[in-house]
Amino acid sequence: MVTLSCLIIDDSEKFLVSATRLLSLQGVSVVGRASTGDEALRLAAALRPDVTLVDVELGAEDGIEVARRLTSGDLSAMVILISLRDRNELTELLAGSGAIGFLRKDALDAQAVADLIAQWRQGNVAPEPPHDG
Amino acid sequence: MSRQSLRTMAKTTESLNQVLREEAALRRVATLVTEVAPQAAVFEAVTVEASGLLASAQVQIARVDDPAELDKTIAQIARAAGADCAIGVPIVVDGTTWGTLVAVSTTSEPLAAGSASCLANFSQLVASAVASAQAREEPGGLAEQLGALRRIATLVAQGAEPKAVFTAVAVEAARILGVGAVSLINYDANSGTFTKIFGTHGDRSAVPDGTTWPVADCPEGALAVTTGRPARVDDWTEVPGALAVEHLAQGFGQAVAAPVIIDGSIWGCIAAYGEADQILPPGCETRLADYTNLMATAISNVKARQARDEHRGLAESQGALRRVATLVAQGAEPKAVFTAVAVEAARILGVGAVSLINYDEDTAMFTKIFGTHGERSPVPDGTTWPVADCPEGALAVTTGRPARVDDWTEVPGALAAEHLAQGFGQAVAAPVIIDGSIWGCIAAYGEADQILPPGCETRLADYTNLMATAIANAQVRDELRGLAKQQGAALRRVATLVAQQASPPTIFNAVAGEASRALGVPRVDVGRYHQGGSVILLGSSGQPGRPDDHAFSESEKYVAARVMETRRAARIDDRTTRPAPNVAAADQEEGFRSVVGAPIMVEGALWGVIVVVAGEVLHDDTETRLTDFTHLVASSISNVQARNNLIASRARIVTASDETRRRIERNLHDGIQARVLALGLGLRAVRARFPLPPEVQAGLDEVAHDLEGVLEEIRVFSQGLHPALLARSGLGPSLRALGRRSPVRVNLDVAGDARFPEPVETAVYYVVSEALANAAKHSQAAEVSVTVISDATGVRATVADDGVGGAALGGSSGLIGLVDRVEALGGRFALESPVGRGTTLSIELPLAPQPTDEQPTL
Repeated sequence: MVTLSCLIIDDSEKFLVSATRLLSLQGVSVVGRASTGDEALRLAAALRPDVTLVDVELGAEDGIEVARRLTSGDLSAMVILISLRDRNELTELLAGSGAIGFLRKDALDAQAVADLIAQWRQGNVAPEPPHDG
Repeated sequence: MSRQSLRTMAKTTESLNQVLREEAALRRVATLVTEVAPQAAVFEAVTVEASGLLASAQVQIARVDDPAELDKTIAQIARAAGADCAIGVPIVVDGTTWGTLVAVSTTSEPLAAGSASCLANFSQLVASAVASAQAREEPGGLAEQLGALRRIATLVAQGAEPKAVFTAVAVEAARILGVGAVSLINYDANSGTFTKIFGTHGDRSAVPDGTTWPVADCPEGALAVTTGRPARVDDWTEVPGALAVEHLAQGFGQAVAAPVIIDGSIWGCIAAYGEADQILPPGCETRLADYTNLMATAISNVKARQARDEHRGLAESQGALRRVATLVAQGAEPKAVFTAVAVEAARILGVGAVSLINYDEDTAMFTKIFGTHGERSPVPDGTTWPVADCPEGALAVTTGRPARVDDWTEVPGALAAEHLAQGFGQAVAAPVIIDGSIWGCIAAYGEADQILPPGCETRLADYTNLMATAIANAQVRDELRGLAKQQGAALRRVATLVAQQASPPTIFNAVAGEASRALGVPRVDVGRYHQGGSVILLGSSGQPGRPDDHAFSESEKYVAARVMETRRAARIDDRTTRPAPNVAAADQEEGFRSVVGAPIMVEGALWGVIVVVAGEVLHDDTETRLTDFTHLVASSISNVQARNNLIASRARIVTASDETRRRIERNLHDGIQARVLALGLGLRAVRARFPLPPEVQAGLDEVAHDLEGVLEEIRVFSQGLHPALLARSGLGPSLRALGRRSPVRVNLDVAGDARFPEPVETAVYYVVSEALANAAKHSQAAEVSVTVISDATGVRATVADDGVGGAALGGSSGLIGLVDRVEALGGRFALESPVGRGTTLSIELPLAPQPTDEQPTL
């Protein structure tokens, strides 16, 4: 299994810690963590991770907008949006964000991330997250 | 039809018309004669009518005693007129020649055939008029009797002692009949006695007044009272008894007597005694009877008046005043007060009718406010006529003193004729003076045969003075009421505008318009003072689009400044009151205008000004009446401010509650939710790291499952608490998110992606959210339609389901809180839920800037 490199962008330190621990234990290489959009862009440019997890509500910032910046231009990063909220609440926001998928935070794990990437690679533009009803 | 027959027919038609004209003219003159018009009037009518009938002729009446002189007189008249041709017919009165009616040709042509017969017809009418006049002038004739009646009635009306009245009756009878003495004798049927009330015998009286004697002793009277008809005694020597002897001894001769019948029963008799050598002519007893009948009414009146005067007297006047004053105190309608005044006057004076008449000095017109005439009224209440047509009133209002008209036949005009035709006679009038100026008059009209005694007009004047206060009160209150009514309506109209949330310019224009209408002035402006003393025009009654409607004129600004200085009303009435530097400029700018301004005080502070502009000097009461409108504006502003304050405070409550919900939701999200999530992720991490015994694995799975349950509960709770993503994603996405969560199928129609103020979006979101929740819980609906449309003025949202209906605002619906939220935004909330026909909930939220207490305009 090829080690997946991952960047996590969230304004909650507690989440960053617990998510990093979980993903690392599950074999994902968490190469960086950030809590602001600018930091996220800088790290993404420098580290070029396979995937970047971006919180939809990034404190005062709009995670969707951060996702858009990450996925556009030269960076062309692969982004998965994450949130405590249900996907139902966010459908319209997710569209046009450039993200390849969405994961509810409590459904986060390495397999779910890998599945989203695999689906996207197979040409699924609108991937269905496995843990979402 | 042949030419010949046409000519014949035309001729026939013409002569027929001539006959008809002649008949009409004769009828007009005959009417005058039967109405006993003055002789001169009859003569004039005859000459005018006859001249009109006889082509190119002039008709005259000449007096001729001797029939032999007739031809000579006619010739003289023709010569005097320079005429070649004249026709005269004799006027014969009671078989003797009285004069001649002469037609003189005014051309050289002879007078038409038939002129003589036409004149003859008129001459008969002249003769009748002369005979009638002679009859009236004859001693003891109708005229003399009427004169006697008038004198008696005057005595009666003046409340003369009965003795004086009876004396007059007897004296007048003696004079009319030309006899030696007359007695008035009362008859008592029960005792069969006569009592001599009064006799004119003087020293020659057989018995003193008051003497009672058996009926049999007075044969002339006995006959009269037993038969009810006139009687006579020609020869007293045949009559037994002491009285007859005494009668002869005193030098009296033939006697006649007539019964006095009052109210259908025999009161007594009147007896006339000729001198010893006097022959009383055959008609004498009949004349006495006629006279007696006339007097009976007078005597009856005396009785009635005595009774009334004894029982009422002054109390009547006071009672009348009390009744009128009570009406005034009770705030009765002016019409009721005026009616009472007139009715009481008619009662007190005992006249046929009383009119209350208003006088307008400027136009010299009278207006009849109210009359007690009933069906006999010559004109309806409210009729206006020239002062000259009402001589009794004209005198009263021009002299300021009571006046009277005794003989209406002398008064020209249609009203006088109508007055007589309705059977009215003498009239008295007294001026009604209110606050030192003549308001009008009160006029009392007697019946045709009624004599208004000399004191009558004074009594009316006294009564009127008493009533003047009452009338003044009624009038003032009428004005006040009119004003109140007017302004009540004005206030309602303005208040309606305020309630409809009309724009401030609309409201101020309306106020100005209402004031302009009520005051009858062309231009009213409403302005508001701002810091630094400037005044800004907020509304005007003027025509929109006129160049001077956008700002106050120089004069208005000057008055507005004075109002601001003094905080009281100010005015410019003439150019001299304007300060010198302003005069030239302002006059050049706008010409002379009278300007009055009054302050608008809102809760004790000067807020603005209402300014009235007119081309003529504004009436003294303009300030006062304007004050009423400044109060109207002030209360409108107060109302609006109070309402705005209320809306603002409700909005603040809703905002504060929203803020709290938002904060709790954020705290949940960042706090508990994040920590529970971390716990869950940590648990997974543990499970990922160590392979665990199956029983431990099962325990951890259970904990993980519970944690997921906790997270889900928090998520649902948060969603109901605050739409956290609404501000970011807008109404459309948020409502679609609601739709996706709804267990009932939702048909969502949200036009466009327009964004609205956050409170509006929040309200729509909550209403749709609650409606969808209710639909899911209660409606058993298969589908819910959600529609949101908007324009520049507002947003309308409708949630309609096809369920069972019967929803109500109360109870557990949770809708009542939404009503508050919607109304706090100045919106409207409607719920329609007929049982069995679904539920439709709709709201309207305004988008125009909401009035708040910070906004300066209103």
